[in-house]
Amino acid sequence: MILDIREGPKPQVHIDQERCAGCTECLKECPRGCLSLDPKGWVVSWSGKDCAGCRSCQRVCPYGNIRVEGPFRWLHGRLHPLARDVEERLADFHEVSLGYTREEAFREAHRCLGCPRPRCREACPAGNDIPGFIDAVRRHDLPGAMAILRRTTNLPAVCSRVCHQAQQCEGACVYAREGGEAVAIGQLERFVADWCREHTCGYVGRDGRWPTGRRAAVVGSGPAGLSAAEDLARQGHAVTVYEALPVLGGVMAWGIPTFILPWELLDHKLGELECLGVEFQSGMRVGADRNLEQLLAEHDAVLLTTGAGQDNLLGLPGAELAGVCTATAFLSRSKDCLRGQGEHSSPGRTLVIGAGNTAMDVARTARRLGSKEIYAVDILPEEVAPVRRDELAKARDEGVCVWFSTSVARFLPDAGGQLGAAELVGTKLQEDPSGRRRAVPVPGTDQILPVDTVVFAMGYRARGDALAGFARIVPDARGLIPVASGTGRTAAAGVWAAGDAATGPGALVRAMVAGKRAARDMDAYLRGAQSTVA
Amino acid sequence: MLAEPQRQPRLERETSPPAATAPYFAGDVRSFELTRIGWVARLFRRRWFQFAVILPNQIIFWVALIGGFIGTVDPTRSFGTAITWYFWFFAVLAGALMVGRVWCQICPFGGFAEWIQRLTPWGRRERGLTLNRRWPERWAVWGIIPGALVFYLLTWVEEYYNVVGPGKPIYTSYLIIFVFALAIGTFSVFGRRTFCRYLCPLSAPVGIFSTVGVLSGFRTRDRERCMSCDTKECMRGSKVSYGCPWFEFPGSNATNQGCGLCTECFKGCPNDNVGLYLQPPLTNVHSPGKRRWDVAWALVLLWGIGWYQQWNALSWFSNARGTGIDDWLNRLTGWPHYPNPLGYLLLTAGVAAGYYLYSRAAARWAGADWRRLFTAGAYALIPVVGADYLARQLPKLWDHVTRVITTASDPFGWGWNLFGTARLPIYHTRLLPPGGVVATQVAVMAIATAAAGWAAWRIWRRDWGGERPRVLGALALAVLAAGVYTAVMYVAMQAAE
Ligand SMILES: Cc1cc2nc3c(=O)[nH]c(=O)nc-3n(C[C@H](O)[C@H](O)[C@H](O)COP(=O)(O)OP(=O)(O)OC[C@H]3O[C@@H](n4cnc5c(N)ncnc54)[C@H](O)[C@@H]3O)c2cc1C
Ligand code: SF4
Ligand code: SF4
Ligand code: SF4
Ligand code: SF4
Ligand code: SF4
Ligand code: SF4
Repeated sequence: MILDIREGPKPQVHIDQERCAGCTECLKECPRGCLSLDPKGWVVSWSGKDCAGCRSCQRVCPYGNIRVEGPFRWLHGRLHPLARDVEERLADFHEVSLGYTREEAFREAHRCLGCPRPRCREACPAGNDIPGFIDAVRRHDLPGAMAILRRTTNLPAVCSRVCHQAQQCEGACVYAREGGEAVAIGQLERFVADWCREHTCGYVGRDGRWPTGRRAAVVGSGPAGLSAAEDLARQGHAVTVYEALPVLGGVMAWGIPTFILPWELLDHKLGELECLGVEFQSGMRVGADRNLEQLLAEHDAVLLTTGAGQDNLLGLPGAELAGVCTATAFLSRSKDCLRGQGEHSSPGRTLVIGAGNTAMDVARTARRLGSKEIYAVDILPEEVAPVRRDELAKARDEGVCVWFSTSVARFLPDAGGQLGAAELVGTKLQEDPSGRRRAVPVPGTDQILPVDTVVFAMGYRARGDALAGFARIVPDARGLIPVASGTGRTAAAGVWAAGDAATGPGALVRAMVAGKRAARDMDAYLRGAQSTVA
Repeated sequence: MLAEPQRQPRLERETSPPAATAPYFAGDVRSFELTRIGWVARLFRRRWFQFAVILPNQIIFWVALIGGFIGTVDPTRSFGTAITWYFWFFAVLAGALMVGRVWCQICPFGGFAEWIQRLTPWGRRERGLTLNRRWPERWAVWGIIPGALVFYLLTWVEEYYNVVGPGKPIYTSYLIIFVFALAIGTFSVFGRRTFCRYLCPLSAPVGIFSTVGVLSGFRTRDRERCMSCDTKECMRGSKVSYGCPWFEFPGSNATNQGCGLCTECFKGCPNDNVGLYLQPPLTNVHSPGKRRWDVAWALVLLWGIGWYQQWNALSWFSNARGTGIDDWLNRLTGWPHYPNPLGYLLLTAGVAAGYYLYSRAAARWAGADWRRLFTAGAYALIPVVGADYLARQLPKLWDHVTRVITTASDPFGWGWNLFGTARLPIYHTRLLPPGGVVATQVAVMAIATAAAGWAAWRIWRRDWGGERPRVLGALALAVLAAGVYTAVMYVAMQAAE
């Protein structure tokens, strides 16, 4: 529905001129230029012609001096892109959301007020110039929009698909803060990135830099590693990426399913990096096949972005039975078979332990592999469990049965010695003596659930094996590499670390940002440092 | 065809809403910048500065507070009673009227609550112990009136328990605890010094009377600079400073009424564009940038309290034989004893209503907008009302202030002699004879009335551009009547004793 904002009730902004200090905070916040300062009297006055009623002015006035009455006039509700029918999408591994059409993107872009002090941007970990790129979309300048995005992000196509926007950019959008539906920032970002990929524009080359002759190594090819490699290569350094797995891309390759993040995106990114001259050595595990000292001898600087790829497990009775596996194993096997390596049969009745992102990825993958009965259990109640609501809703649409306040007590073998059932138990929150609330089992609520496959999706921790045989960096108690915040420098000269390996499991966009920051610091170092490589 | 421009009849009613009056900045008057003095500026830049000036005060008030619980029950021997009621309240008022908001710079209540709120005595921390809520807009429209109402309430409570009287020292402690608790509670829910700006019982009188004083408050040196300043560290805070705890904006600030002299903006401005000035007395009475409706009403409320406190000293209001107005009201309402809340309410409301009616009538006679006249008149009355509050403290000061010196050596009445002053004969010294006391009261009122008259003239010139002389007449009559009445009342009170 499109409303004509010139019709209907109009917002009214009341400013108490007596108490106005003329501090201009409101004026700087107003997206519509409705407020002006009388420089002699130092008071602000309002002209209502274009006022959107967004209440940004009211929210910032330090003196509680502004009252906005009347509606927040938006053009139309948020446009939701089409998603494929459940039946259809369960039949393959293609992306669920179809994304905006060009027409829809332009319409949605018109909802953005272009706030002068955009809170959405402050809330984006990458600091993307959101009103800037949306304005370019509005002007039909899609390459321009991409150029704006590329100033701050290397993976717009990825972030726009995997970011938890409701907690980041979109959660801070002025619409959302006023109780409405935020501008679809993620969808617009995705539209721009996809359009530019399909129309082969928006590629960023070397910035016209000469090769510096400096050599940098990046260990790990996840989002942190790839964006650092790209930024370093663009500065003219020779970059080699070492990856333990045969596939490149880290979690993007082995973890996040293709119905969320299609292969083409990653392949396209890797193609861009190859054009920049980045070398890849996959199947090379640093710490085992080669150690860090050797890398340091061959390179002027080394960046560790080894992620946090070690699954958390519960030591439950029966966990060693065949049929119990980790999310990593499950997801990477399914992705391998998508690439034609190995057969993947239906996992049968599946129980996923956890209800977070990874768990939903596992459950929805299992559904596509032909499993009819899928259960996910989380020990916490739904209100407090760290789940992404939109992902949860999609999984439920697809027939995944998610139980909160439920835990697993043990696994039971069937007649053949294989996994046959799991014993579930209900939980409730209780305060322990130190005042912290913990989920504890409720006696008498146990039930037996017959299952064929159990997948642990209870989060990750860092592995730290890249540091094997290298004493100059000591991981902390959680296995993380201690770094200087902002630069990613480690205790050892010439070694940086970034992403989940340094900060623990987190959001993909944060790993990317950390990679970029480390690359900036490494670039400065490499420009200043004499090459130590023979 | 253009219509013939009509000649305006001379006394046509003003129809415009109260215009935002021309601003008035420190730089616009003869003023002296204190922060040009090197050591003053260096001192203000130190983060520990405010802590250092609050600390002694903090110790004094905690001693007074504790004394109420563990010390003597004899108020004449209690340090808490002596320091609070024979010296402190007088000093706060005198400081405000002569200098400015200096009390708030050293205030232990706001200071203590702020340390807790920031979780550091003087450092700069990002996070502290507060929910950091905003004072809601619908409360903010009332400006400083909530604070004035708390003061109104406390005054009545003080009369009821005869705290100042001198009553039991523990009552003084309860009063101090109440203010501490209100401060800490508000500081932990609302951000910055919301308490000081809106709720502190002392803030309304101290802030309003400060406009008489000579300290301008911190404000900008060059307004143009602030106009183009995007970062506004003074308001938003910086690495080395907090954003103005009082929610003031030095850039446009033209009155000292709301600046708590905390020096944060001085520390924070990256353009070195903030200074502290001395200005002629009464400057912010006649030229406060903008005149505020809430300030005017708060003043009228304070004035009403002043009336009450004079009436209640007279025998026909309340006496031992039970024939006074208050006694009659108590019998009527079944209230146990003086002061009857209905009487308090009626008298203070009566003063407000009287002033309101006067403004309406005078505005009609002068052809002025009554709101403007009401507000301007209230500002003109500030010196008179302030002087009334001060004069009321004088008998206690002249008669008993020496006890501060003796009780300081024996704060709890336990027979100590810490500084060797406990047994000095000055304990009974009265600094002035009774006739001298009332003479000083009348003198204070005379000076204040003259000052208010002068301020009325400046206000008229500034707000009405020297037009509508009847406005000046109305303002002058109000201050003259108020001043003379108050002086006469002091003579009457003396006679009643
Ligand atoms: C299943 C799953 C789903 C997720 N979904 C989301 C989501 O929807 N949204 C979101 O924001 N975040 C999500 N995340 C988190 C996000 O993917 C990670 O935070 C991010 O990928 C971390 O990036 P990274 O570059 O630090 O590490 P990774 O992506 O983990 O990459 C590390 C790479 O280093 C390699 N490596 C490790 N050790 C060595 C070694 N010794 N030598 C050589 N190579 C080595 C690994 O093989 C891996 O390829 C998800 C994570 C998982 C596991
Ligand atoms: S409500 Fe929004 S558009 Fe209207 S004046 Fe305030 S900030 Fe500007
Ligand atoms: S934010 Fe408030 S005080 Fe500042 S200029 Fe706007 S209305 Fe005036
Ligand atoms: S990177 Fe993530 S948070 Fe930032 S704009 Fe894009 S979707 Fe939003
Ligand atoms: S996306 Fe929302 S917050 Fe951001 S600029 Fe647009 S309207 Fe403002
Ligand atoms: S306003 Fe009240 S609490 Fe705040 S500093 Fe002044 S006297 Fe103290
Ligand atoms: S920071 Fe300084 S220059 Fe900027 S507005 Fe504040 S006082 Fe003015």
